[in-house]
Amino acid sequence: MTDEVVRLDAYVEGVLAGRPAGPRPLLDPADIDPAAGRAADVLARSLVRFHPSFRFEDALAARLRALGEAMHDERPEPLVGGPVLAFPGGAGGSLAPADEPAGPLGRGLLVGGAIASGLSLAGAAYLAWRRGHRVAS
Amino acid sequence: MFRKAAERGRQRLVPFDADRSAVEAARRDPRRFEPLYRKYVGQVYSFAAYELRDHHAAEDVTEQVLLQALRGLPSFEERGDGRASTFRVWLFQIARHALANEHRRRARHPQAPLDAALDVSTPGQDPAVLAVSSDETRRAWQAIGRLPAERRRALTLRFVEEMSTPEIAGVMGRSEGAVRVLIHRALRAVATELERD
Repeated sequence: MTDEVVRLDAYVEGVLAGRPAGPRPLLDPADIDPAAGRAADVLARSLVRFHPSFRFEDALAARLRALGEAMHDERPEPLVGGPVLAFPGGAGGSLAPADEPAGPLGRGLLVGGAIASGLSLAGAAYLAWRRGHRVAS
Repeated sequence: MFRKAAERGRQRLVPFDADRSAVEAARRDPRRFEPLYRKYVGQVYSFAAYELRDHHAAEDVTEQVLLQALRGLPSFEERGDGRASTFRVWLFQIARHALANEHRRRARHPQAPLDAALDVSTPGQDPAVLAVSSDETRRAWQAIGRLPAERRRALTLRFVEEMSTPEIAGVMGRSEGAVRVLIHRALRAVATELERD
């Protein structure tokens, strides 16, 4: 390893520690390759540390807590995304009525969240209309 | 007396690990991992972000690393065999392996890289200073991004994570001398890039 490499290492150590040029008696800034020294100054000054979003940080904290609990209790590791619950109101999780096709590939459809709310409202309105129509006819 | 001295001489020299008490607590009870998590989540994420240059990919790797660290904590051993082997070094070794896997996955399934738009504004800072420093940050980020992986990694660990040369050697599985040479070459390459801009 050359002296130049060792000197630059000491210089970087000094820059990161907030000293202008390392231990004075041992290191003269003139001994450093000026371009590499300037690059070290720029990187020390301008490279920032990033932080993940707080939402991500808290979600991962919760997952680690669940894993820690499981390890402590010697249970199997919890599933990602929490427990899987049966969708209420239909065997096999299908929203489609028994007399209607389940879907293009014959699979049951499980729809979540806002889409499910929209379908429920539309389905309830449709059923009410059909019942009303039958009674009228 | 001599026997006692000889026994003392055989005792291992263990580097000081600032995390020792937190690590011991989490080893005894994995539910007490959170202080270590809060301390290191940003560092691991930042390391991954410099390496992958993609916010979502960096989050994925951060998650993998910290879950793996908690699972592997019972097997972590602080060592003093010449290379720094603290919890932090061990954690970043896990991160390095996770990043290598991510690079391999990307090579199999190439994606267009999304360069992070940097906004490092500090409230109350002079806009002129802010403009210069932001531009400088962008140039430094780009210069680092053009380096070969090993050099980029070494500079990130040195300047962003502010690790010592022995720590970087421990993370990268290289000798301290090799790390110094790597950083020296990387800084010269960055200097060339900065002068070109």
